[in-house]
Amino acid sequence: MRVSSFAVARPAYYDRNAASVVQVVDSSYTPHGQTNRGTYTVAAGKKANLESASIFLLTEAAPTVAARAIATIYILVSAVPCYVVRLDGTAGSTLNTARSAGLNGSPTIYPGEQLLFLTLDQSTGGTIGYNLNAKMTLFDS
Amino acid sequence: MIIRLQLIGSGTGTDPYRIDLPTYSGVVTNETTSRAFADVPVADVPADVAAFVAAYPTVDLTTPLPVPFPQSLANSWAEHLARQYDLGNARWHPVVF
Repeated sequence: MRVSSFAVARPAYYDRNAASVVQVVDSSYTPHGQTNRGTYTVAAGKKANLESASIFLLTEAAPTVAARAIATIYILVSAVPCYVVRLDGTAGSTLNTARSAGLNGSPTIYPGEQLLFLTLDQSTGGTIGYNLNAKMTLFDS
Repeated sequence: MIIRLQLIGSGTGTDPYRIDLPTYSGVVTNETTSRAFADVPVADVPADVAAFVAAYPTVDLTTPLPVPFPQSLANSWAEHLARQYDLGNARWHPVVF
């Protein structure tokens, strides 16, 4: 009996020179304009699966005048932002009041695309603690 | 490695404050002086730039560098990033500031 060879399948993405990438922004900021606190760009020949992303905000010092505060994690695709996690509202006036949001879905990030962490606080005075984090698997395209 | 860099942008939705680098984290800014500390992957920093950063340590976001960041090092860094990410020449132009 003759047994033919199996076709060789392409390895799964997690077997293609895979590596974990973790990006974290964990700091306290007074009011500020829209600011990219961190970013990760996928290099040529690579892709990244975003597996986890979350945002936690905590009012650490109450503002004199509370106004809009944003924390968001987004992917920049051809200069168009695609928000994957976002908290957008008025800065809390009560100390130690936490807000949080988590990732929906599991987007793939392609070469040249960027994962970005952005914060904004338009209040007068006060401090917000920001924790934005993401975990992805980077692999050969 | 932590590097003090020039902050670009105007703080608006279409032009947020940012660092002109492909990958960084932990940014702390001073919008008035246009300076920011950022944590940059070691692989993204060429040896000559790392040597400049080590030679002129910075402790705050206000005191100017004793010497300006040389244009030759700026060019070297831009070329290093172009090779590292292979996404087109001179896409990023970070400046130690």
